[in-house]
Amino acid sequence: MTTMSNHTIAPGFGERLKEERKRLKLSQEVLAEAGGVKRLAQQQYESENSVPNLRYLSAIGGTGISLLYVLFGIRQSDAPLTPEQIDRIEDRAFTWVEEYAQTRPDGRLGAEARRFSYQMIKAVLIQIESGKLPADFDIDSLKTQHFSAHGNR
Amino acid sequence: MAIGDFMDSVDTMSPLLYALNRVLCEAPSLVQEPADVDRLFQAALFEGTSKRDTHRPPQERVVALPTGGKRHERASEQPPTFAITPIRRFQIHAPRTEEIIHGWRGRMRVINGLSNTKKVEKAICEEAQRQAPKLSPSADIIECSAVLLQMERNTLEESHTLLPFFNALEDLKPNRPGTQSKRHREAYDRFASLRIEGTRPKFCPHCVQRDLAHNRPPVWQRVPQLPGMLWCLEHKTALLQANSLEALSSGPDKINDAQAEDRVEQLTPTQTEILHRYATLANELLLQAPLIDSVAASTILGDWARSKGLRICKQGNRSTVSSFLMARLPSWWLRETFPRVNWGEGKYIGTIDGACSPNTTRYTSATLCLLAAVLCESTEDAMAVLWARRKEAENRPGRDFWASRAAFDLYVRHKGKVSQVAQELGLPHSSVAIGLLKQGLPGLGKSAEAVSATHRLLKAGRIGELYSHTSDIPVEVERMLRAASSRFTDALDAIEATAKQAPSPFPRKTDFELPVESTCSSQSQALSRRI
Repeated sequence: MTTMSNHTIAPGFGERLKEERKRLKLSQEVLAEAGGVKRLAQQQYESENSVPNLRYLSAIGGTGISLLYVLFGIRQSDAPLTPEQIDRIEDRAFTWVEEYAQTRPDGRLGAEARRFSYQMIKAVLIQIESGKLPADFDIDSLKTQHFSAHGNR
Repeated sequence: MAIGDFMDSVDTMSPLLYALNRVLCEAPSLVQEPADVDRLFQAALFEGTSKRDTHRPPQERVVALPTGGKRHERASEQPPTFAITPIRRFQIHAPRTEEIIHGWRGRMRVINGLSNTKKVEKAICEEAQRQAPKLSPSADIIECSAVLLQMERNTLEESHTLLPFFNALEDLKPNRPGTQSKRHREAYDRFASLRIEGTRPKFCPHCVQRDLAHNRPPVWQRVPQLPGMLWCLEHKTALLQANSLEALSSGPDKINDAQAEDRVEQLTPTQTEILHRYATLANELLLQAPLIDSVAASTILGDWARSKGLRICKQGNRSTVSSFLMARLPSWWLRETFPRVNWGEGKYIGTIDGACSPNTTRYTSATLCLLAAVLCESTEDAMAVLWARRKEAENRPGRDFWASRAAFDLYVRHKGKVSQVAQELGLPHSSVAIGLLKQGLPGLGKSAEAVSATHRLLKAGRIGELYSHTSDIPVEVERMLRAASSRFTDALDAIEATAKQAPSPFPRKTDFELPVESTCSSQSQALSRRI
């Protein structure tokens, strides 16, 4: 655990964490419990007096907290993705995790690190994917949708 | 960099977070081919790993002591030096060609996961302020967007707003005389760029399909948002309408309840031809962004209207231009495209008919396109109207002209009828009426008997004889004489006003002392005593 006296954590990190918690309408106790820490630790994270560990981040990522926003300050895109896109993203996320693991001295990643890496990489890939067009978008669905009610022109 | 400190605390993940950070920052500027992004990630990961190794703080070292023992020395904690590219908090994607700025703003909302338009505007302004600290805090959304997109404001407005269409007419007169306040002009400038007609944004389904087929994000284009557009000019198909302006905050492919305009199918071939011509003209105005000489265009439109036997002035019995329009175009289209016009049957509509009066400068681009499309037989002729330039000083006769023999002869030839004189000169009715009146030549279009009576009076006839016919004659005669004597009346008014303002050569003394009452009473008492 790093404290404020030794390092300064990312500016706005605590504020964003709190914002995400409130977005999900969770109390500090509930989120702390989900992250495997006590309420005081949660309070310190939000007031940026201490830095959370990997296990905590990985755990709260599972509750719906956007790690992309908390860590990078980038809002997760709300553009809907097709199941095929999600499949492709997950495939690439697994590949990237493996690539990252190979850069480790022993070529391995712990379970928590692997889970956290996967969550982060997937969030980034979704963000990138939502900025462009789905390559395999069902064009006919739009056509059918528009013309079914109003007749073909 | 503060985030580096955070990463240092989760040291095992720092190369990954560094690589993801770089991917997020740089991927939007790439073509976004999966292979490119993969390569970027691998390079950033390698860079992050090597940096971490370079900056890894020295581990504990063992120092041999002279006494033969060993001492474990812990290296002093170094401040973290992990270099991270600054995070771009707000992702910016360049607008597509012909994408309207409202749609681009909506796309930015989706990409950045913001919930509404206000939030995305706030984020754009904050990001612009961060990138350009010298930017004025009161800069509007267009200014901030231009900063983020690294383009001039004018370029952004010309390429991604409807401003080139709405501002096509030059030399327009303000609705009220005088200079508008700075606050008023600033408010207008702030909102003008985001001006959009109607509440139902339109899109072409075939354009959306084409974009999807080419793996491009479907966008809201500018041209369908022009007032009165019914078809896509490229695909010649009817446009679909969304139900509210809120639709612009997401892509047109996400609209589930878009509706087609069923009334388009009921248009006659003539109506279709005219409305296609109108659409082509409006499209040209938007794309070419010309500066139209409104005076010259109205003069040519007036000529076209007269050639069709239409009335362009308020007085008269012939059919007006607006009636001509209403007979040729569907009333629903006219009412929806020009909602502020009161489309009444058989009456003179100033905002439509007035645009055909020569030298008129108070109408809109949409009105001009409509009149050109209806009055001209072909698109080429209509284009010529729009691009016409004024003949300098030819149509602006001054006092010398009105005082000339030519103007007098014209007045006589048309028997004092101002509308006919105006028509021959190609000038507005009001200008001709005032020009002639200043020379003592009032319009004689009203009552022939009054004209005759006035004539007899001026030829030293007796007033009593004038009143023998009808009771209206004296009123008409008085009106005509007063009108013709307007300059004389003005002179008398000016003389009277000057006389009131100038100080009197013999000022009245108002501050003199009245005799004291007691003195008066004592004098009267003395007088009474004497009596």
